[in-house]
Amino acid sequence: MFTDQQASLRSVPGAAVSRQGRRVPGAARRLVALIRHDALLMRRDPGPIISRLCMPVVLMVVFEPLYRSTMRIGPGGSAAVEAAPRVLVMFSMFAISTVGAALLSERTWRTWSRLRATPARTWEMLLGKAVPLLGVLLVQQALVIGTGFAVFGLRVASGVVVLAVAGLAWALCILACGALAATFARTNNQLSSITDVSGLLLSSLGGAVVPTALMPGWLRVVTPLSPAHWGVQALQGALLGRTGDALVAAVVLVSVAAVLGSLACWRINRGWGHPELL
Amino acid sequence: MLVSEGLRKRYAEVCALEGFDLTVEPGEVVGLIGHNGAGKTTFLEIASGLTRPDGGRVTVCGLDVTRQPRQVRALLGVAPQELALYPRITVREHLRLFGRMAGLRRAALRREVDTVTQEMMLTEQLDRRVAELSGGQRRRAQTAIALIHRPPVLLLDEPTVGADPATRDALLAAVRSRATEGAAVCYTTHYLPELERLRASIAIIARGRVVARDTGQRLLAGLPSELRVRLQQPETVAVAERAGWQLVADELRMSTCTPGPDLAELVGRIGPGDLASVVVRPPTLDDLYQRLAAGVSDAG
Repeated sequence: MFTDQQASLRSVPGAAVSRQGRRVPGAARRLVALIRHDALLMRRDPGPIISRLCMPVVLMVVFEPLYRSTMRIGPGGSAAVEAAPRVLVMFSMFAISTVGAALLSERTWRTWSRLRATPARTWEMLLGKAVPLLGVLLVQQALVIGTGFAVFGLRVASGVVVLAVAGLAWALCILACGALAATFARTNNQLSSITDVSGLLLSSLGGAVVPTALMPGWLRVVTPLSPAHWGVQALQGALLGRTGDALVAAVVLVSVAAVLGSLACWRINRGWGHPELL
Repeated sequence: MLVSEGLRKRYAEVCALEGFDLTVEPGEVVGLIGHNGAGKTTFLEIASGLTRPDGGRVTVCGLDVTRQPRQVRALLGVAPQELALYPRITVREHLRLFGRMAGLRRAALRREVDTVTQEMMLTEQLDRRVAELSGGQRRRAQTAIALIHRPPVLLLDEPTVGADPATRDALLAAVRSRATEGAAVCYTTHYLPELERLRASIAIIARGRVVARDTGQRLLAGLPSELRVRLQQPETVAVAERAGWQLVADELRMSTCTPGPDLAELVGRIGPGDLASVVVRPPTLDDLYQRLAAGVSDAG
C-alpha cells in the first residue's frame, strides 16, 4: 500500500523520515512552495501592488521641489535626499494594510486552517506570505531611489550595500507590523482602521511627512518611538554617507521586526487563524 | 491507523469532548454520527492538529498528534466541513500547492493530480479558478486536496454537504477506493445512506464521547421495524387502532421488534380477508439517528 507515494516522498532531499517510512518534506521545500503560491495570489490581484509601486515615484517628483524650498536647499544641491527616504517610508506604511489584508483573507477563506493542517510551521506560513511582499517593497525602494538618481541626481554616499541593508531592515519591520496588525483585526474594516490610523500616526510622528527638524521640541522627544523615524534614519543615513547611523537604525528596525513578528507568531499559534474566532 | 484515547476538550462552559475513545483501522471507514454539537468536528480538529486537547491523546500511525504534529500532518488528508479554497486560483494550482506541501514532486505530483481529478470528475475544471466553479465542483476540489498525496489517514468532515447526486457518487467512490487501498477513513455525515454505501462501521457520538461503535447491521439489531398495513374495509380501522396501531393517511402503522406476532394478532382481530397489503420496513440508520437526535438512544 502507498508504495508509489512512499517512493516519491523518499526522493525528497532533506526530508525527515516518519515511522511509517514516509518523509516529511523539508522546511526549505515547503517554504518554496508557499512563496510560489503567495506570489501567485499576489499576481492574481495586482491592483494594490501596482498603485503602491507607482504612487511614491509620482509623489517624490511632487515633493522634491517642496522639500527644496522648505529645507532651503540651494540650486546646486538635491532635495531628493530629503524626499526619497520620507516618501519611501510614508508609502511603505501602506504595505502594513497589504500584509494584513493578505493574512486576513486567508482567514476569511478558511485557507489558513487548511494550511495549518499541512506539515508547515507557523513561521513558514508567515515567511511564505512575507517574501513576495518583501520583493514588492524592495522594488518600490529601487524605483524611488532609481528615479531620484536619474531625475534629481541623487547619490548613495554609503554605497549600495548599506542602502540595501537599510531598505531590507525597514521592509522587514513593515512586514512584521502588518502581520501583527492582522492578528488584531477580525474584519477588513477593523484592519483598515488599525492600519490607517497607525500608518498616519507613525509616519507623521517618525518624520516621514514633515522633517523632524521642523517639529516642535516636545514632539522631537517622542519621534524615536515610531519605527518610521528609524526607517528615515536608516535610508537617509545610507544616502548621506552616515553609515554608522544607518546601521544603528537598521539594527533597531530588525529588532522591532523580530519582536513584532514573534508576537504575531504567538498570537497565531494561540488560535488566531481559527475561522470561528472571526 | 488512528487512535483516540480519553480525549477531553472544553470551550468555556461547553464540554465538547469528554473521554472520547475511537480506533480506526487501516482499510476501515468509520462514520461518525451525532447531532450538531456532539463533538464530531472538535474531534477531527484535534486529530488534524488544529486544536489542542485538554486531556487524552490522539495517535496517527503511532505518532502523537500533539507531540509530533508535523510528522502526523504529513500522514493526514483533511477535508474540513466548510469550504477552504482560494477563489482566485485554479483547481490545478490548489492541488499542486497541497501536493508539494505533502512532499510530492514533479512526475509523482503530475500523476497524482491527473488521478485525483479523474476520480473526482474535475478534469474539465482543472484550469478554472475556484470562483468560477459551482458549489458541487468546489466540494469535489476540496476533497481532491485531501486525497492528493494518498494519505494513510483521511479525516473528512461532512464532505458531501450541499453536493448533488453526481458529486456525491464521485466522492463516495473515491473514498471507498482509498479505503480499499488501505487508508483509515474517519467520515462525518448527516446523510446516513452514504455510510451504508461506504460499507462503513459506525460510531455514534453523544455528549462528547462515542456511545456506540459497531457495524450498522449490529447497531440496528435492537431497533424496531415498522409494520405498514392497508385494509380493504375502512370500518375495521377502529378495531386495529384499539390494538395499538396508528392510522397515518390511509395506512395502519406500528413500530415493533416482533412484527410477525403483531401482524398475526391484527389478522386475528380483523380476519385475513381484510388485508389489502402488508409492508415490513426494517430499521435504517436514519431511524437510529432520529432516536439519537431525540435523545432516546444510548444505543450501546
